[in-house]
Amino acid sequence: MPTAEFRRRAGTTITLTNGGDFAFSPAGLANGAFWQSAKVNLLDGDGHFPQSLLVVIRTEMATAPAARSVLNLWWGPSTSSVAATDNPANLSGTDSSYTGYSSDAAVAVDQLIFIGAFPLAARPSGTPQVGPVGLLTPPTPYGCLVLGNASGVALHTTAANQAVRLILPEEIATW
Amino acid sequence: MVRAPAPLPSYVNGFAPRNGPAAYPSLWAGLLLAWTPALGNTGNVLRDCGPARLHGTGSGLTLSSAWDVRQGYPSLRTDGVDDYVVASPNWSLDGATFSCWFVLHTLNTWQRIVDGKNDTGFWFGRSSNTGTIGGSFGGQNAPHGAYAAYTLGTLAHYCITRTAAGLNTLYVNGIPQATTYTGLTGSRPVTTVAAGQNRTNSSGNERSDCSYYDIRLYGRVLNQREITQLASDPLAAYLPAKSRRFVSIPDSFYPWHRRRSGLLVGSL
Repeated sequence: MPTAEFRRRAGTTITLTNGGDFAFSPAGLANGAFWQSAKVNLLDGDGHFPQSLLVVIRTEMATAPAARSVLNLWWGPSTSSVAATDNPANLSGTDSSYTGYSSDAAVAVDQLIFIGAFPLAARPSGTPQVGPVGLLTPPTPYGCLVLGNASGVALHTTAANQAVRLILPEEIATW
Repeated sequence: MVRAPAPLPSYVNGFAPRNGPAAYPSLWAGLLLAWTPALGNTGNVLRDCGPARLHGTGSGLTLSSAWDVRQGYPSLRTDGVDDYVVASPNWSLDGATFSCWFVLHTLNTWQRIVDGKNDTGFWFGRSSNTGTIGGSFGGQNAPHGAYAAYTLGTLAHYCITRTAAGLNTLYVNGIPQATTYTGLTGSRPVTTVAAGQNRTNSSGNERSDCSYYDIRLYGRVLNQREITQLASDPLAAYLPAKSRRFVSIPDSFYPWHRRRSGLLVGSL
């Protein structure tokens, strides 16, 4: 388990990407396919996890997609920090292709928390696209991110341009 | 400045309301279908926020123009030519409620705005060359449904309830308009539901040039209070209840408080 700590300060970020705080490597993901992240730990040094997180995606497409076609993001909550333990919808907890229970990922993702859809601009490769997807309210301290490609084209193979950031949008008050 | 997208309340995903309960929680009871383009662009799939996850698949949609912001809300517009969204439920409707927030852009002779298996299930649209809009459950025989006047281009909420005995009541913007008993009583089977056209007869004059904001179907008869709530806002069902926020403010921020505490301690 990576040692990244989620400090409760506005703007604090966890980055999910190849080589990031938690592994997430969907580069080259084909249209219609799904990808899951490694198990993410949202706990801070005091054993708290955030009430809400802004989810921001950075992506680059292999070719220009249709304008306003989308990438979808889901969150699979878990109560365990162990990769293969207590995962919904048969998530593995490892950075890998996601196929649901048995080649039924498009249905299985409905058992997860839908974060939102990211509408794409019709930009060719070489133009990373960045924007907020949704606000996640994680019910548990751990979880996995799932990306579904409904854009009609594949993701670009440049790993550095396939990332998702989880950002604490505001201070969490405690007393 | 990038504005964060509105959050999907956790109850949409079937989870405990960690970010607060719904303002109108009963609008989630008995829900069969909730297509809500007003929540934002979801591409060629119209997501069902109801428990069945009966997502609609778009056909003919040109995504760059179909998804739009009108009347202050995101919306999905079918072009009245070849666009529609369809799903395949397995419903047997007895007491039921249909609800729709929409803007109709043009009139078409027999257009269907939302259609659940033509006449034997339920339908919502237009039945003649008048400017009235309406519909019913089980309206195979005349009268086909209850109708009310509609002004083209206006954002409106139409709602139809149907009791198990077959009484259909039409509400416009939360206000009851007309009632009618339709020919078919008893449970109404619905195996196809479509927005933008009549799925059983998709001839040109049954297509709709229509912007959709929220389409809902319930397997129960909503009461007047619930219909008024639905008619208050296209996103009424998704509004969170107002909640108290707790913040921690250090004592040093309130010198008077510190002084008073000191006096209190001193007096002891």
